[in-house]
Amino acid sequence: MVAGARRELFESLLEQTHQQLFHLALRLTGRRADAEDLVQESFVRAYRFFHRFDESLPFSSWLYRIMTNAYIDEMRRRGRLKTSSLDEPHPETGAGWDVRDSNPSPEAVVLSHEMDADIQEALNRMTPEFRVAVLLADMQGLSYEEISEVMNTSVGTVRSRIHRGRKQLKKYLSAVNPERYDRMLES
Amino acid sequence: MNCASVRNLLSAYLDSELPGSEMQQVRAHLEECPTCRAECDDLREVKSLLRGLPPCCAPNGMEERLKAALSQAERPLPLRVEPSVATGLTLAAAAALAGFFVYTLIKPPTEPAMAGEYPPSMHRQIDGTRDFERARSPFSSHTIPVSLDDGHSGR
Repeated sequence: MVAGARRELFESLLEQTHQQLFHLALRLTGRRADAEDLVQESFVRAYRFFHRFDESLPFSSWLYRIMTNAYIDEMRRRGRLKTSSLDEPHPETGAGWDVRDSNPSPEAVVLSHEMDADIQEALNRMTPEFRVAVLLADMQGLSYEEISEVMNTSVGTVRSRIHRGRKQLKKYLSAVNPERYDRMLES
Repeated sequence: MNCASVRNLLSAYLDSELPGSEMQQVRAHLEECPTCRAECDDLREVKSLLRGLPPCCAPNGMEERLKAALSQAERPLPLRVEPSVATGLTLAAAAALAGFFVYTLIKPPTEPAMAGEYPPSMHRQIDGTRDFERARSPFSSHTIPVSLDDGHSGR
């Protein structure tokens, strides 16, 4: 394919998918600026390796794979900077910790108004692999088989990550606002 | 199936990701066990909360910025060298260069057995012609001026 046609095709796919990719990126990162960076990194990587894309598969699944790899790579890279105490599970939720800014930016404050802050915070506290698996299943509606392809792991591992991720989420929500969530979960 | 094994399968059960026989076994257990049923309901609600998250709009102008960023991908990747390797290569090159110049400074003059052993340019020097020749650097494709009469030889 000549370069111009390749670029044109890719831009057309970008126009169709960038919104849903941003939606996932925002839930993964919890910040609009980080989400846009992640989306951009993902599209640049995808374009660079577009010649390897199998056109018989959905473009969005291929992008999810690129994005989740980029995201988990970045989280692992940041994880190397953590102190060992942050590797301990959260005392209340049992979830893994992520490095978070102690002072949320004004943008993060605005974001917290845009989203259900409790759910986003619960997602933020999950380990990246659990977060990716849960969001791909519950927000993007992918099957376990599709998630296993995106995350390059077994269906059994996907099943375990989704189950443990949901349990962590429930535990956090019940701990942070028992009145609201326990009643909701009991109803 | 006991409670522990059923609880491990609850998310897959809710997602209809279990083989038919296991789906039936979990369903039968849930009908009889209120504790597992309550846990299943909790997980169903969590799944529902996540599914109900509102979609968020991409920032204004993001699509254009993404397209502009594609131009980056069209440029060849820069050669990435680990910092430690780069430092090592720089030091090695500097040491080799220094060694070369020290060698040219302290090299003792050689007595020619016959005048014909010198290249034509050296004949000019021997004849007292103060000249600069352009010698090729061993470290690059560029040429650098080198005085063959450096003040040390022949003194």
